[in-house]
Amino acid sequence: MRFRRLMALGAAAALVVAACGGDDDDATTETEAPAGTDAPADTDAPADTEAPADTEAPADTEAPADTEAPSDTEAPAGDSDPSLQRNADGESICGLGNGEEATGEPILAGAVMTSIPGIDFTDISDLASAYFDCVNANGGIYGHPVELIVENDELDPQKASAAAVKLIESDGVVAMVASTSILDCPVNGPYYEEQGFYAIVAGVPAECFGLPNMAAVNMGPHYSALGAAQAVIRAGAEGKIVAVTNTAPGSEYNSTGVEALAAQEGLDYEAVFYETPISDADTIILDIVSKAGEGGGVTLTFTPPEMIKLMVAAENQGVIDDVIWGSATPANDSSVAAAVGPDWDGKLLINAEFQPTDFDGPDTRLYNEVSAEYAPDSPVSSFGQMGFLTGRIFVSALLSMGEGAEYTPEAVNEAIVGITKFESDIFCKPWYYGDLPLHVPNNWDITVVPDSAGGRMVPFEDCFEIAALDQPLIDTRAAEQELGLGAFAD
Amino acid sequence: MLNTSQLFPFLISGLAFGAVYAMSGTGLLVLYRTTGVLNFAFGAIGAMGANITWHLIEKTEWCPDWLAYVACVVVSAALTLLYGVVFAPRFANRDPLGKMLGTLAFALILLGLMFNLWRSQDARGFRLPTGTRRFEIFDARVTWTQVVAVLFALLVVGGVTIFLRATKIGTAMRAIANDREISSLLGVPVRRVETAAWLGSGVLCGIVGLLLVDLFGSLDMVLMTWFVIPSLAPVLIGQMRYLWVTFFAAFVIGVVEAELNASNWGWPSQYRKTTAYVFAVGALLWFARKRTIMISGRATR
Repeated sequence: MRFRRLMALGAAAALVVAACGGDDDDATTETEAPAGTDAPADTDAPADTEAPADTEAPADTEAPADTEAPSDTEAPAGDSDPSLQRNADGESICGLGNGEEATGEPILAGAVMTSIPGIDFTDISDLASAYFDCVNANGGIYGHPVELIVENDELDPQKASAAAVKLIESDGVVAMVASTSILDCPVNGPYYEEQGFYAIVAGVPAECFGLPNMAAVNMGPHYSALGAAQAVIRAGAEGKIVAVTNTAPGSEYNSTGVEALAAQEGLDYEAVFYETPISDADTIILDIVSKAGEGGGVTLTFTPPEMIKLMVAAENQGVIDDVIWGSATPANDSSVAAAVGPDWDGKLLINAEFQPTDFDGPDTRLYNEVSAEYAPDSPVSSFGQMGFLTGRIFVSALLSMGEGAEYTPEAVNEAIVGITKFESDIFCKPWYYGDLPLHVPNNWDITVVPDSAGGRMVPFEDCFEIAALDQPLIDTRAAEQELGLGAFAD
Repeated sequence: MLNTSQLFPFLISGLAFGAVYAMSGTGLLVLYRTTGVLNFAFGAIGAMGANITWHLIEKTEWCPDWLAYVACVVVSAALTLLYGVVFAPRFANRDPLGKMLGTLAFALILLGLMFNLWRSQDARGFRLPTGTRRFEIFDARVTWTQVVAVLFALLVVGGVTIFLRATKIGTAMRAIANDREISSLLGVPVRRVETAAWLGSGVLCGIVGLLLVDLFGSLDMVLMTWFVIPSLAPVLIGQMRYLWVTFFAAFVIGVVEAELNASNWGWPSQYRKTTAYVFAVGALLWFARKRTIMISGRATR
């Protein structure tokens, strides 16, 4: 009897602890569409909610017919710039592409990423590592292999800070590459600046797009959700837009772009936040649809495992056609397309940020080859493309330093910040770093939709501009025009 | 303004999750009463079974889906039995907390193993045949998995009640639950009865694992592993003794939790995930209200 009471008390204590750890969520803020909100007066932003001219229904795109193993035995074009990483035929290659194993002293790069249940960005650092493996198998950086040391901050500011210090001061990395963290930019941005590091990241919070020493290959959830909302409005959403995301620190930023767009378009707006991992998707989806109203729009910003819970729930509840659905980039993942049923085909407008993963271009082909050979467990996805691009840009910077260069942090970061035109068919426009007060170099979007039969995402809309509704993007477009960067590059 | 017709779909979802709480609660309660072990690995074992099922469906070509579903139950039963036969006896002389911590360690080992074997960041899941078949009732969509969950819960609790009363081994379980040492002295085969309890609990782990994947819409191994925590709430409300109280408490918790998600309730919906814990703590306080407490040698109420 006494034992049973003891046990009951023990279990109750466990329950209380669990309850304290997981109160939560669903903190909603509802705002009316500001009556007199105008688009920024001093911009010549394009009519960003109009359908792109060549919008098409999802095509049954096939994988490139000529996919081959990485062209690692081909020599780079004789007198071409090795930093372009292309062979004589114009095909993309890993680094020097000479098929020789790099055995010299390694060049170390560091990454801080977040991996906790419900928020996991390891696919990005995995693909960056995979790209370096491919480069190392192809001569490395003039014989030096590149190694990526990855630290998980576990969404703990102290761990994020300690990780950066460890990487730079103990491990001796020469650059920060492929970091994807909710905390890295805000916590470590000033430290990187102090150390003279120019990080190439896949950005999540606002700071990744607002510092002189941070440049992301992606546009982040804020602009990504905004792009999805633009697609949702083009597709006919009316009345109200509901932006849904998680409760992680700084998640409000994910939805503020959608809020600005709703205000510009005269639509009602509501932000909704749910704790992840989601355990009650059926009721959440009913609530979201009820909030958006018939014919309204919904944008979702969640990682793939959470996305499929919501999508399966919408399928179960028969509400897929009640509203127009959009999603930020993380849903552009083959495992999402494969996990949901045909009811979703063509009905989730996902901001892919990059060209579709089966696009017929040299970098896309190389990405698929590297992913299959060096990271076979990672799904083909936007996250994978981000990791691949961070790696490829970094290698391009290293190769641009020339043979025999000293790979010190100062020299390497100087090479990184010196990138003003990195071209890839994965991007809509050339990517750049440059000495700027802030960086949003990827500010064009592509919309893809699920194709369950093919187990992948297929194109829905061609490249379009993310609406310049906030100061960072307005400033970015102005700088691009003035300096001939991005869309204004020669 | 509260619109009751809008709440009906939430009721359906709540009943389904209540049914899973009820099944988990039954598995935990019967095992605890028979062996004295509160099995914190209940969810992790079900998650491991579900991962095996996913692997068989998605990564092999030879395995038919029905066999993969059976594998979930078989693997879960085997893992539970493994713990019950190999590890649990080594904790037999420990206090209840020690026994419980043993199962917690097993849960963590299984979770680590799952993280190593399968990628948690992928969108993974499988649909039961009942999950893709639906019908409408009062404008609410109901999947057959939700129906099956409720029917299974009824079947499990009813079946266990009959089993405990009408079978020899059930009678032995009740005897052990009342007094383990006297039962042993009277010749009740304690080890055999305990093994049966572990096996039965393991089968329930597997069934709950399958249902949860379909109800969650995804194979979320972390969520499934810790599903055992809120599942304890109805067991506590049943004072770790009463099966049917546990059963009804599970449904009440499931329904209240789901209904609170309807945003027209206002701010309480923000706290819906605390429902199970609030109920459990409330019940414990209620049960303790007339207990005598000794303070400085004087009895007080």
